[in-house]
Amino acid sequence: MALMCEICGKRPAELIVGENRPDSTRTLHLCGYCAAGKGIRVRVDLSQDPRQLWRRFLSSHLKEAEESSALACPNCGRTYMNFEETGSLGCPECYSTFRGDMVRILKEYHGSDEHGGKIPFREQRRIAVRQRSRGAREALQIAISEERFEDAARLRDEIKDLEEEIGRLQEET
Amino acid sequence: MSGLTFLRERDEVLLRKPGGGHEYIQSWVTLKRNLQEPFPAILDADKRCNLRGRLFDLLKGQESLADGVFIELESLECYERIYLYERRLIGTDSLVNPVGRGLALSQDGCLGVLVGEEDHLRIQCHRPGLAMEDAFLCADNFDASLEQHCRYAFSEVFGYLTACPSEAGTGLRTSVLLHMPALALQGELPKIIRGLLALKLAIRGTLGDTQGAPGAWLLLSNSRSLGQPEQDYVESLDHAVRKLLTFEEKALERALLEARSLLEDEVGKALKAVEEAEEITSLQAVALLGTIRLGSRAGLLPALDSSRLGPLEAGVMPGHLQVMAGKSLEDPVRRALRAETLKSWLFT
Repeated sequence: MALMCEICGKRPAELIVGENRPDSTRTLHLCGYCAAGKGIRVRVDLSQDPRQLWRRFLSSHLKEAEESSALACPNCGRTYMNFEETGSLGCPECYSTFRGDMVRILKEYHGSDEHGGKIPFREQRRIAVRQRSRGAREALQIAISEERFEDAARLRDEIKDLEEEIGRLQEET
Repeated sequence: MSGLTFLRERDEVLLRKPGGGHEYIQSWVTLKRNLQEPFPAILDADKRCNLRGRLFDLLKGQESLADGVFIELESLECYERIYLYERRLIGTDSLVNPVGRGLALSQDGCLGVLVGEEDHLRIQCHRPGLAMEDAFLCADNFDASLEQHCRYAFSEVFGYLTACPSEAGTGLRTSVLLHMPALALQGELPKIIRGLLALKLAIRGTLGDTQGAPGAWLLLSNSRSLGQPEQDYVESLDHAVRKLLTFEEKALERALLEARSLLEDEVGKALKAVEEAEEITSLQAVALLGTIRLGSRAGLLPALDSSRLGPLEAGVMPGHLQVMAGKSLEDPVRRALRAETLKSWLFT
């Protein structure tokens, strides 16, 4: 049975409050209203700011990061130790430099290591061509293993065209 | 000061004239975007100024900002930056170290782009009321238009690459500021917060984590940004907020039924404290206004025109008070001015 408030006796007790008396201390079980009536406010832990959540997460997960600890980004010079200290990276290239640990950290923090949102317009074609190229490579391996050599030759040509297109798109950007 | 004039005029309208609305919810969305070059935090002042110049040029070509203002943050007085910080238009890095950082604002003040803080660009849209979807569409449209003129740092796997990996992927942070006084009064907030954390939402008070939730204001955001489409993050926060608002309304009905005299007593004490105060700190003001706002929502203050409450909590913050006064003020002067301003807003 739920413990009832010791002041009003009408509502369930939500808080345990210590009350100092001249000769002793006693514990009271109070409902929110009666506690408020006595000027007692519930202290709320609000250290759940997104950045603090991230820092707290990092401090408990970085110790395991062995892979990148000796690395420095060739583009900006940021070391993994800098990342540990600040929680931030130095440049977009850092994501590739520390890729091994980044995949693990992102997966644990976000629950995923793969982008599921918007793709910039300029990247959409490049990504689509790259995906087609990957698909064709997989199909080529299967065609070779099944000795379908005509299909394999066709796929090889397709891959060549796609690679050229990727190169062209790269140059455009 | 010129850059802030129009914002100040807008505040004058909101704060001083009745009709500012009895809003107790604010929504905003930010999108972090970077170019393919080092993030601003590792640049020295000269390089950051150069980056800001280039980014301002890029932004000036955007229709939404055509008649907007472009502010170089080091040109502002410290109290003016505090004002922008209170409005959540700039972050702590820009507040403390403004050199090479800038803010572009549309003429209506609803769209802003913070330049050169942690990321190259922080696109931000603010809306009164529960309007995250609308704020997101505004930010997303601007982003779509901007990306035609630059190449973002983007990875097929990690999405938009941000300085802090906690924002990688969509680069999206959707936030809402809520007033939950009835739940706070009933001691329900810790339970609510546990539930929100389980939904992977981030929660903080309005005046920083060390000061709890003065006035029972809570600020909720998504804490994850990688893996799902932007719309999902917006919708799940919106869903959680709508549920919370129902809980709050029910808590208020319950409080009126079960503890009306306690409510009346609390509200009466808050009004009296404002009436008698010669000096008030920001923290006290927010707590007192929170209770007065609760009284108004509960219909206990028929004599108080609820539209007068408007966004008063922002108006009593140090930066706002000083910008309204048009000069830097020492703390004791601010406390006295705050008491005087509150009285004039509430009682005249």
